[in-house]
Amino acid sequence: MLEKMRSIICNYVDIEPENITEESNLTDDLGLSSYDIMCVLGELEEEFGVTVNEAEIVDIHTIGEAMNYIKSLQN
Amino acid sequence: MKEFNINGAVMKCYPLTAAQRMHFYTIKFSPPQVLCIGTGVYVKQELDFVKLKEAIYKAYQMFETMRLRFVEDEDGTMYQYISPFEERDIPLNDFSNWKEEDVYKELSRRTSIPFERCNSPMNVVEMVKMPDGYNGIYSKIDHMTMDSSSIIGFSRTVIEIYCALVYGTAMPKPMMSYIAQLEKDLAYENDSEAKKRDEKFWMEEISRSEPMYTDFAGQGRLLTQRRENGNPEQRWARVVSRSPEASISVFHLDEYASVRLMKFCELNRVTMSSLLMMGMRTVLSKFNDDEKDVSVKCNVSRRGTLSEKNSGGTRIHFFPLRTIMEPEMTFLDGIKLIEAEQNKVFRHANYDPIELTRKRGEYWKIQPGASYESISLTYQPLTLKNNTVKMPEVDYKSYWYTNGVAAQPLYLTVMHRPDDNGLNFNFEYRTDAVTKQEMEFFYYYLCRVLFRGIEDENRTIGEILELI
Repeated sequence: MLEKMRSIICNYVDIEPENITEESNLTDDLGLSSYDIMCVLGELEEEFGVTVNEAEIVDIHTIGEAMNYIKSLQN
Repeated sequence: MKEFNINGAVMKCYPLTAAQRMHFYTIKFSPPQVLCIGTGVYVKQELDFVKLKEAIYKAYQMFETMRLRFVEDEDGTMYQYISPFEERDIPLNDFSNWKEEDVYKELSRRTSIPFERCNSPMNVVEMVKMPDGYNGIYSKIDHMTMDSSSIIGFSRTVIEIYCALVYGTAMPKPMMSYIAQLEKDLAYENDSEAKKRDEKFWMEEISRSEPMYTDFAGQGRLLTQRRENGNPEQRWARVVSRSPEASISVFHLDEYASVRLMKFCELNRVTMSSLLMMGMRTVLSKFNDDEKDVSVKCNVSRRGTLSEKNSGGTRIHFFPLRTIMEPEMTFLDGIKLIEAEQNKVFRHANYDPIELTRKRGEYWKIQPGASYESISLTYQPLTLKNNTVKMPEVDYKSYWYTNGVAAQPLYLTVMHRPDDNGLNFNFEYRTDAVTKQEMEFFYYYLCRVLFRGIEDENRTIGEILELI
């Protein structure tokens, strides 16, 4: 899942994939805006066959938190 | 896609996007609208104007949308194409002996002159010598071709190229293809699955319940129209008029106060735009008898992917952002609710805003020109100053010049100042719909709400409404 997230995020910000880790903060480290984050989550929805809840994602700030959230939806 | 013979060459021409049609319909159906955006970027140092002219020409070649033009077919349908080169002269205006306020008036006057729509350049870039030793460029660009994000990108590119030519710094990276992005946008509009999902979302939003109009100047407009229409339950109000004359007032929030707002956002992990939106909807509630159901127009720049960010063009869509908040809700919870609603808007922001407005009007049977929103908010975090360029430390001045007209009663654009990162609150208002006093009043209360809210994020909306 991390590789897929790296691939998607690199379409949104000019960053080397290896610089995207689970600890990376979406805004502070990766420079994603809230619009970018929604677009990335939209792509993850399609990739992993889940539906995100906009109220639940306001508290997601890192790649790791995003991954855990997607996994929880898959379960 | 259609082919046209233009000046002896066969050009591939594309239909307009939804963002472009929004502006096109404004000039077609609400004349005399003007779509020009005027900007000025000036630095306090001597410039090599020969090199600056060369930098501007190079920037024109990099930015396809600075060479974007329009053509109409026999049915009056508008198409767009890219002209291969920019060959016009780039003049130097010497205003060094003028007063600054006279320069502002002159450049605003020039900004108010519209472009010819068909087979004509849709921008002007000129070099300027300002008073007090500032020099730089003035740009007038048609909104059907560019928006604030791409205009800032163009200005920064000119500066980067100039620095590369004069100081040997790196040239800016090439832009991404406008045509490639345009083809993606048109593919979405062509009955794509993504468009169907967005349409389903917006129809569910529209039909949820009827919103309530809240005016920045209080209930007067709505109550008057209820009487005129003999409908005491009317929830919408007519906001457009035939007189689009507009003015701009800019309020400068000092650096210390601006930093307090930014620190609040950082500490509580919320966005500046949702904080500002919370401030605005609380003021609207206050001015409208503590109304809980408040809608504000939210402008979405729609620049997510690298292609969208770096291909120029005009991409702004506007959507209603509606929230219903009880007085017991805390300020911070209110901001988080706004973020959640804003996220929904972002997810479905590619949908045609004009189509949404039409469908909403039909569903609730409201009059043409009527709305549930009296004000729109744009938060622009980018500045005209290019902080990445290795240039000697210089003083910058930047301006957004009014074109003198507006379609809506009131737009608020909040932008960062390039020199101290403080916030400027730019109110563009229609002079027949808003008085300067009403607008100043709104700004005053907006600041009161924002600072009462960030003082104690657990303060409730009801408490804030009492305090202000």
